This record gives sequence, C-alpha cells and structure tokens, in this order.
Amino acid sequence: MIEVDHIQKKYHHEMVLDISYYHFKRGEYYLIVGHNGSGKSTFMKSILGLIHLNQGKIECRASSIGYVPEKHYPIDGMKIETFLKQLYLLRGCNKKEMNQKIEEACMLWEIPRHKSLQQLSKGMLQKVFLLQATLHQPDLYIFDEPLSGLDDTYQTFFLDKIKKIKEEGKTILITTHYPKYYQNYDKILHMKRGHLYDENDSLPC
Amino acid sequence: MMKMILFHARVYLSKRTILVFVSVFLLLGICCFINACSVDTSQSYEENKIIYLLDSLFYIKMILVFLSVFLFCYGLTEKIDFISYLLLTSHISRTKYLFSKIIFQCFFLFIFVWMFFLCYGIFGKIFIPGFHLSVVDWKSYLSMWFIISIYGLYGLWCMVCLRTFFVSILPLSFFLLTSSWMDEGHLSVGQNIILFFFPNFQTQWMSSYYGGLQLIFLLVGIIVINLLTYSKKDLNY
Repeated sequence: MIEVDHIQKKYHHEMVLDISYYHFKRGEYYLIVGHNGSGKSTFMKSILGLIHLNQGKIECRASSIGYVPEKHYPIDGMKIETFLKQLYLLRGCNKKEMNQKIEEACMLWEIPRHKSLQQLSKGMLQKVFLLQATLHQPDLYIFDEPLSGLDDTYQTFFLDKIKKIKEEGKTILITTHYPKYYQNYDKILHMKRGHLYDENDSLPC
Repeated sequence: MMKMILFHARVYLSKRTILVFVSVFLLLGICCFINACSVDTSQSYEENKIIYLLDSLFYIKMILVFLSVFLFCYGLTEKIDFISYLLLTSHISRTKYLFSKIIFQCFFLFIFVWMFFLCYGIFGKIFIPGFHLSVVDWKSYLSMWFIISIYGLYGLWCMVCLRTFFVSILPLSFFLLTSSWMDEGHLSVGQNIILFFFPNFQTQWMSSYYGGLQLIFLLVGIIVINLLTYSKKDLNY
C-alpha cells in the first residue's frame, strides 16, 4: 500500500526524518509510537504529500485517503451538515446518495448535524472529523494523535470505530504517544529522532 | 473548480465576516454620500465631477487595500487553511486549491468595488446636477480593483513564504510608501522601479503610473508566483 524508499527530510539543516525502507501492507493496522518531536507527524504528512522530501520517495497506492489531522478548528458559522456535504462533493462522490448517507451517518454516530461546528465540544468536533474521513470510504486511513484531549467516552467511541474500520480490511496508520489505549493492531512501529524502528528490530528501518 | 470556489465562499462568508464587510461597505457609502453632498454648485460640472471622483477613489483606495490584504492573508492562517489538509489528501491539487481561493478573493473584491461604484453613481446622480458616468469613472474603478487585488496577492505571497499574519504589514507599508509619492512631481529611478512592482493610483492618468497593461501583467505574474511558491512549500502548521 505504501512504499517508503530512502527518505530524508531536513529542517534548517537538522535531520527530522531518515528512513531507509519500509513497506506498509494493504489491510494492516499500524501504530506509530514516539515522543513529541520524534517525527511522527512529519512522517504522516510526507506520506500524504503535504511535505516535500529532501531525498527519496514515498509511493502511496491508496485510491482515496481518510485523514484526521492532529490539529483542527471549527469553521466559523458552518453547520456540520454543510461541512460534510461540501467535502463529500469535493471528493467527487455520488451526489444522489449524499443527503441520505450523511443523514444516516450522523444519526448512527449521534452527531447533531444541524449544529454549527463552533458550538461543538472538542470530543464532538473530533467525531465530526473522523466522520468526514470515513464518509467517502477510503482504503487508507491516517489518524494523527486521534485520542489527544478526549475523555473516556469519546476515546471508547473512537477505538470502537477504528475496530470496525479494521474489520472492513482497510489500511490504518495511527500515530500516538500512548500505545496502551490501542488493541488489535497488526504492527507497532517506533519513531525516534526521525528514525523508524520495527518492534522486533533494534536497527532502524 | 466551481465547487472549490463555492467551498471557499462558504468558509469565508460567515455571519461575522459578512458583518465586517457590510460595516466597511456602509462606511464607504457614508464617505461617498458626504462627498456627493459637499459639492460646490457654484463650480463647474467638470470640476465637481473630478473632485467627487477623486475623493471617492481616495477612500476606496485607503480602506480597500487594507481589506484586500487582510482578506488574502486571513485565508492562509492556520484556522482557515488547515482545511487544505483534508482537500489536498483527496486528489485535489495544490494549484487548483490555491487558484480557486484566489479567484474567490479577487471576485469578492470585484463585487465590493462595483457595489461601491453603484453607490458612487447613485449619490452622484442625486446630488450633482447633470451627473453621468463616463469612461474615466469605469477605468478608474477598474484600475482600483487591479491595484487592491495586487496588494492582496502580495500579502498572500508573503503568507505563503513566511506563514505569519504579521507579514501583512509588508505590502501595506509599500502601499503607504507609494501613496506618499503620488503627489510628488518628479520621481527618482528607484521610486519608479518600486512603483513598477507596487503600483498606486495616479490621479493624473486615472490609472496606475505605468497604465492598465502593467496592472494586468502584474496581477497575472503575482498569481503565477503564488501558485509556484505554494506548490513547493511544505504545508506544516
């Protein structure tokens, strides 16, 4: 699904990402663990093409991606329903199914679709962002620190959703500081100072 | 492309921002009304018309350049532009994303300028005897739209490069600097060069110092520079 080939990224002459080779397999669930500043988010953004590499390449063969960034903000005055519809349309999804699909998903996820994004709590906003990432049914999911700042109820909800995505056979990449919250993942990878380590290997990938 | 432009419109035009824009418009309308009211009927029509036009353009220039720079820079602040993460990871190219944003912003300013032009026409008709719109009026307002859009695009480029809202001061400083030169009779070579890249409204020509063609080339050039820079920058908030 994703082939990482001799990549390097420097910020102001400081190496923040240095990975020789890694292959993320289709349908597997990966947990990428590391401290603040270890390069997790940079790595995710490199996969997504948001960051340009100094060297090497990343080949991502996903036909569509569902991404939940670490930081997100409510758009001033925009309703949840409008936000979801706009993204749905921009992603080239079928317009005929849109209303019904969004309505059903909001009911199922207990999201008040007529509310403005600004009125939402952090947990509810995260829920909306998770929903936008799943609505177009992508084959690759990338979640950057998805549980940060969420209470137990929302954490449980989120983990339950990840479990369902996993059961659908989709590829999942999650970055986190706290691996103890997650279960059923296929592989745990560690990021240290821009290097990626396989769980069973002391040498960097 | 149209879907993208409409999306930007929805992101920008919240109740609060609309309120700000309406307030600015009302302020400009009041200025225009005061200008039209204060014409001296003992003077000739030509004199009154030119004073009315220049006074109206002065207000629009001073206020709309600030509005334009803030509009363009605000669009790349983290709270607004984080949405690019969701769109650029959905097979939407950076060029398409930024270009649609620029189109929306320029179009928005265009509407704003022409709404004010309408005000100018209505108040002129009411308060100035024999008032009629001429080619000079159209040309002046069109040049003004080009100038304010160019400064806004400079602001956008500064934001793309430096990613801080404070850079909006840079194009505004150049605008104020070149504005102060407009009353000078003779300009040095250095001033002429700066005026080429940072155009300002020249009352003698009722356009920029170098004419309309320069404004078109400059506008297109800055749009291209913005797109090229944005496509090469890391999107990392």
